[in-house]
Amino acid sequence: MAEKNLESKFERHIKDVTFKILRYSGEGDSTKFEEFKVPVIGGMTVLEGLIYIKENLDSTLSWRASCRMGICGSCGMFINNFPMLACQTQIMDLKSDVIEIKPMPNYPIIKDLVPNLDKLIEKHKSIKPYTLRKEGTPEEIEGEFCQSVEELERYEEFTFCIKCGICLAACPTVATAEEFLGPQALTQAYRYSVDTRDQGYEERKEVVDNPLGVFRCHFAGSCSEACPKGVDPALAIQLLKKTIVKDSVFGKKLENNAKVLPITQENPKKKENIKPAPPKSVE
Amino acid sequence: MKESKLWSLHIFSGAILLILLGIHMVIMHFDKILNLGDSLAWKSVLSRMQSTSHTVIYLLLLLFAVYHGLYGVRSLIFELNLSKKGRSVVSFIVVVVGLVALIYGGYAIIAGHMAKLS
Repeated sequence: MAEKNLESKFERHIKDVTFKILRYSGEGDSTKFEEFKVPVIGGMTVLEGLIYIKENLDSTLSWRASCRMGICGSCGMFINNFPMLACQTQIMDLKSDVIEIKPMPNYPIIKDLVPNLDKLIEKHKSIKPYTLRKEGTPEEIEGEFCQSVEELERYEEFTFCIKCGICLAACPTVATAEEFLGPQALTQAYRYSVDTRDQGYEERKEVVDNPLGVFRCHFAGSCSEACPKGVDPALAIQLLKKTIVKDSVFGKKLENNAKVLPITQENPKKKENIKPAPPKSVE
Repeated sequence: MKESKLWSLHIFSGAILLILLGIHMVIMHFDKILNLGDSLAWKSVLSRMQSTSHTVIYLLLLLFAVYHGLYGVRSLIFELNLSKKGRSVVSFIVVVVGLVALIYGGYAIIAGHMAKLS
């Protein structure tokens, strides 16, 4: 039955596209390209093409994917020499009968299209990507922070980062300087530092104000070009530079003092008139 | 010194160099067009050396050009992915070369200004 469904689905196929995939066994062997013919239907994504290959042509093909909708940031790949999310890239949009897929550059390869993202995570962690408080942790503060729309807009765009690592794959500076913090971490350093609820700018400045931090960026702008979520890391890096120079040279400190307002709404959990949840229907 | 300060000074020196090099270019290369006489004639060279305003311009040009150039060289060498120790050694060498250039260049400018030549 399932086979019939699959057959009928691919009867509607528009054309055959060749997937030329760089294979690597993960055991120190050399890499080599392998080609697969994939019947393409309208709206089919590169990720769906890879799933077709795994289901029908070669079950040993490896890649990383999860949500299939551009949220998890797992399926970053080098598709036709451009780093993209496989789940967000429609095959027909590539306007090519041959699609070359390689793992993202600037990362070690684990197997086939699976990159090792340890460096990305290490760099991300190094800038302390969470709200730091000098005057009590958010949990200790009784009340809620007040933030204006303008204050939110200072960093909102940069919260869309899904940590897919595509910006680092696109960055020519990361390609030549592995230790460079990279657009992702620098963008998040700016995002948290200008959040009015945060007071950790000084701590982050220690990490980014050095020759391998914000001042190593050559402003190629590839990160912004490649980002699948429309974040503009190149802009964030320039704004971070501006913030640090204002502080270091002109002594204009970044001060975040979000007002704390008392909680006016009653905690909904405490309400007595809420009916209990129905019993579980599935174990 | 923090990288942000060094970088800002690099940008600032670049902006100042635009003005100082502009003055230098006009005097040295537009002399015929602007009827300033022959800039390379001994008399002209001497009068510039003995003039206080030109001496100040030359000193500033030396200072900012040395800093701007050597910071650029340092950045280029840093591109070679040096270790932290390697970066410190390069920075030290750059500072020494800069100081030597400043002392030697400064001596030449000031000695030329003070000398009783005719």
